[in-house]
Amino acid sequence: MKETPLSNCERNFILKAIENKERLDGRQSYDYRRIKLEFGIDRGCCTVELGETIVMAKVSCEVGQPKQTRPTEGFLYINVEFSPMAEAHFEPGKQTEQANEMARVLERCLRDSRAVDLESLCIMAGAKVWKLRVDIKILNYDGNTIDASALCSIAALSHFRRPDITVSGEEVTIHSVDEKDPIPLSIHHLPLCVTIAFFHQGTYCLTDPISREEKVMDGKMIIGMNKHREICTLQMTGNMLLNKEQVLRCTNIATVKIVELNDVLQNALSADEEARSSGKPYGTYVADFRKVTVKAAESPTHSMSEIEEEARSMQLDSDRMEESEEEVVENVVKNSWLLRIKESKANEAQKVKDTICSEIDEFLTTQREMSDLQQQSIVNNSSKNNGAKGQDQDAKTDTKRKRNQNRPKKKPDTQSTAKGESLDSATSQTKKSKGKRKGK
Amino acid sequence: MDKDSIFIPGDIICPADNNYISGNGTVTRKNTIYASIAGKCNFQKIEDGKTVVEIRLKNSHNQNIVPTIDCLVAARITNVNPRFCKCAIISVDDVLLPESFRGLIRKEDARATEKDKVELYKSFRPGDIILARVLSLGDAQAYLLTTAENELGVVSATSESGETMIPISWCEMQCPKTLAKENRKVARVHKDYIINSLVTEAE
Amino acid sequence: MAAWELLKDQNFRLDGRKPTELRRIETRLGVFPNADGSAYLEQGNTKVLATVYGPHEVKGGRGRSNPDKAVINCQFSKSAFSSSERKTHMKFGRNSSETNQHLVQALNAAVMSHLYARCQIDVYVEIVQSDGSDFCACLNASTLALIDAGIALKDIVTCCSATIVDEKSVVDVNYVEESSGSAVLIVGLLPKDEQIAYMQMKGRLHADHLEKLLDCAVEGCRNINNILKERIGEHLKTHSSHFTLTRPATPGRAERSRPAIA
Repeated sequence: MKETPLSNCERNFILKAIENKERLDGRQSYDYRRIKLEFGIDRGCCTVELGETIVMAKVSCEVGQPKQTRPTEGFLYINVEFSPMAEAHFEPGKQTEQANEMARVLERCLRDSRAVDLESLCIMAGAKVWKLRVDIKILNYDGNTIDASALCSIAALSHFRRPDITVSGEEVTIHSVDEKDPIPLSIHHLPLCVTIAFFHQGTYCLTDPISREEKVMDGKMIIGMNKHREICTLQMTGNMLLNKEQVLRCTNIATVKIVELNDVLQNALSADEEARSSGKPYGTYVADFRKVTVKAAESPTHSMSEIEEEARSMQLDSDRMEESEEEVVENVVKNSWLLRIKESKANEAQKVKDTICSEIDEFLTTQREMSDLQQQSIVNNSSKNNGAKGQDQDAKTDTKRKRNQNRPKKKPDTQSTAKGESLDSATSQTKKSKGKRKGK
Repeated sequence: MDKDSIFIPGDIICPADNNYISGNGTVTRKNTIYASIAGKCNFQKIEDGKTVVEIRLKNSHNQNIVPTIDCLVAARITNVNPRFCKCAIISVDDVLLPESFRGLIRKEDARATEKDKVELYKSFRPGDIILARVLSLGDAQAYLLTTAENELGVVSATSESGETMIPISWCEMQCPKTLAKENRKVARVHKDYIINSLVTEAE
Repeated sequence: MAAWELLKDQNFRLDGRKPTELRRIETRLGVFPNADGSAYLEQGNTKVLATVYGPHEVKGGRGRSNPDKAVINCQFSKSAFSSSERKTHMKFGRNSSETNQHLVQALNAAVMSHLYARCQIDVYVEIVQSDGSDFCACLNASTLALIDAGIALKDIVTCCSATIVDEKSVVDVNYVEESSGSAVLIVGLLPKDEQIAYMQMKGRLHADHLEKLLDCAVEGCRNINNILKERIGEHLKTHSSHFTLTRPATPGRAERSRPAIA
């Protein structure tokens, strides 16, 4: 299927809004969308949600022969796939320019900057090394897949554990997970990417563009950096011309954003570690599955309260930055802090909504059991009576079933007024928060 | 501004005031004429007393010209269809193209009058050389051309016997050998451009 | 190779250059008679050939044609004998297609593509000998080939690489300096307005050093620009006997008024 091009009026609208320093989703120029990082049950599986963009990465490893020119180094392959799930015009299996570009940027960011120690992947020099493979799949496309993928892949690599090995002479034994605990990879630093999009021949720049903004932009600058302010990769794409000052301004913006992204990553990793070590349920898929059968609503895999404190401390840190950039930086941090407060409120509302859902599920199951019992009794009765009457009975059971289905909706109101009030207010709260998020 | 000086793309030639107009190979930006190709600069005076500034490439036939809207092109008919006819554009203005572009003449664009009663097979035949004007850039397949002017149409055609035909009227051409008349949409070429020797031979 | 070996005392590099010194550049335009434009460029031991065909009709599918501007198509190829070890490079592999995209991006900034709407310009680049700064040599050679083909350009694009060795920025890196693992910055510049059309960095570099490195690369681009201009001027002077004035001058297409339809 072919991609529908953006209409001229949409294009003009977005460009004019950017001139007035406004964005389609109400963000500030340097704000990121809501980031959600979740790990799976398997080690090395990570999903990142950056607004509507959803990216999933999975790390796997196998043993192979090293290159002849580098006998003590392992391999790190990065494969990016734009699935047609993400957007209808992506063709399955076809390696598009976009996927290619992304894979190369990530390779430079992770491999060429020596984020992962490839020498530690050596088992037997010249004979056997570990070949790491990061498979990234774009599940939903709404712009800025590079930032999301970079975050996702480094998170997956940090999360991954490779099997332990013992070398005895010429023999190499790879221990399974039951025999020996798998060991983490040796990661020197955590490079993350920041994408800055340019508009109006480089006059205005925004971070984290959504897909509509990407269609309108002149070009973008991708900066890969770690929290020690070391630039891991830098790339300019698109048809635009920049001067030196713009390039340096981008690196300053990137410095601030990297710190925020790093916080999200660290919190998610530590929360997952905690969950795994303390025996609590971990991994997104397990948590979702349990929600239906077990009543208790699970807490999200990373807490927002820690992030607020970090943001406050970061604000103090940012005061120490250069005077010329102070204004910009302060605004950026304040806005992101406000965003986090909004997020925490939304999460609370989400929690209450989850409890409502689980309770409704319970009522439905109990009602279904009751209606089943009723049906059985009716069936037993009808088997005694005539067949013609049975039809009427079936109609009666249908209406009874419908009535039963309607009942659980009424029940919470009648049961306890206090609960009913809180539920109503909670639902209205969620509606309001939803309205805020999807606001103009 | 020396006539013998070589210019490279991006070099400033002269300010763009009323006397100087940018010509081929130059571009005007912010009241200055810049060179956009590498070559020697040429100043030529035209009627209004103004000077046209242009840059000449080393070989004139290497000039990169491309059909643009409203330019005059010469094309060779390749296909004739009841609805449209396809042709290969061989020259633009008077510059021969190294590689032909594809052009399309729709039925309604073949003639200026009685557009609905046009029969393309009576206007063009494959192999004819026509003069046409570019209507639009068309689609990815072909440029859209028109011959709906008196001066546009078939310039040279060969008859069924293989001889170059002589135009008789705006809609007929005659073979000098067999004297058979064939229907074409003939271009009214200015008499200065007609090679008189051909006409006298036939007579 | 350890970084300290690259910059010995008295500030000389391994090949005897000073840190801000470029390698020797040799150029030749109009190398192939068949192509519309061609060029051969040598930057030290890196030797590159570039040919340009066009502008001609868009080939390869109806989707590629753009009614507003020309489509530039680049094909980058590295010969198997170009490096010290014979190695066949995949023409359609990931690295080549990335280089193709980047060449297209950099050339799009220079070519006045609105003059060649709905047409395609092909640029073919072949690395004959590779000794570092391959991409820079490719971009410089492509610019020369475009000039030879007479395609209208806003300004010539020059490209230069730079790296940091011992806290000193070093321009025009060769193969040894590239493979030492230090950060290499490649900048494609439009020298007149000092605008960066293309930029790429590989390796790890502290953000404080970026400005220094950028300045060094931009200075290198400026120097290459001066050298290329000289060479183009020389080439045109020796071939100036071919200048013919067969056509009377006409005002440019933009100024030409619409003729009245008879």
